[in-house]
Amino acid sequence: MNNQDTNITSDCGGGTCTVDGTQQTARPPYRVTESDAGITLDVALPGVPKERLTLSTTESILTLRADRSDAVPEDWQAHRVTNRPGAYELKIRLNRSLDPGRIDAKLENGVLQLAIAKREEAQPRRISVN
Amino acid sequence: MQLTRNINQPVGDLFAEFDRLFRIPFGRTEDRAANQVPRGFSLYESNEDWRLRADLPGFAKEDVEITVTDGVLRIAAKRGDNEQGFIADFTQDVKLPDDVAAGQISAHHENGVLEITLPKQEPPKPETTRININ
Repeated sequence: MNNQDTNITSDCGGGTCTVDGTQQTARPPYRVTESDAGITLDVALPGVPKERLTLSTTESILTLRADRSDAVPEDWQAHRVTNRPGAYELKIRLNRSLDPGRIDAKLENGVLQLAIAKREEAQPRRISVN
Repeated sequence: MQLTRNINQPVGDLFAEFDRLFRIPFGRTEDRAANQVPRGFSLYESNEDWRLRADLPGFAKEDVEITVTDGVLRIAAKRGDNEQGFIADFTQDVKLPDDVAAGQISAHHENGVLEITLPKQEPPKPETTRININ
């Protein structure tokens, strides 16, 4: 994933943030693409419905918390479970050029897409020559 | 990148097949290095059925095709656009054990997770024919 993008930094360096004994909380994979208007942040959140996703911003920190809804019944015996965390958490620091107040979010097929706009002053400005 | 498996190759039992699946080196191939993440794959068993769950973030229901041919379950996932997905298009074959009622397999896709229900049935008993010696 393109975690080295200059517009954001993550404070959860490893693949897994916390483990509470029964349910693993992992940092979800994400990808960043940039345009003149802002950045698009795609986050893989399989198993997460909209109701179990929380997004918040505090100053320049964007925090994502999400729980999977596809619980495993107690009477199921697990033979193989690979790469399946029970929850996701991601904290990213937005570059000053981005506006935390202008974020559009869309969740579809297990992928969250966030469109984060650049501040007006950070967008390219055409200067006319007289 | 597309991962395929020759359906004519001999296959072991379901667990051996999953073992083989998990050895597919997503984490180490060049294809995966920049854009791909390991696929989440789980196999559960209850008294009534087997459940296979696959995390397929970015794949719509229409992108996934499931077929069963001669006891082999094939999952084929192919994205309809040219955008890079979190996981690559793939085709995966899984040899089904004898106790699966192949005609009653069903699947459900929700929030980027594919769940395949494989109902159990009594495995066919081996037929024994006594040969008289004249």
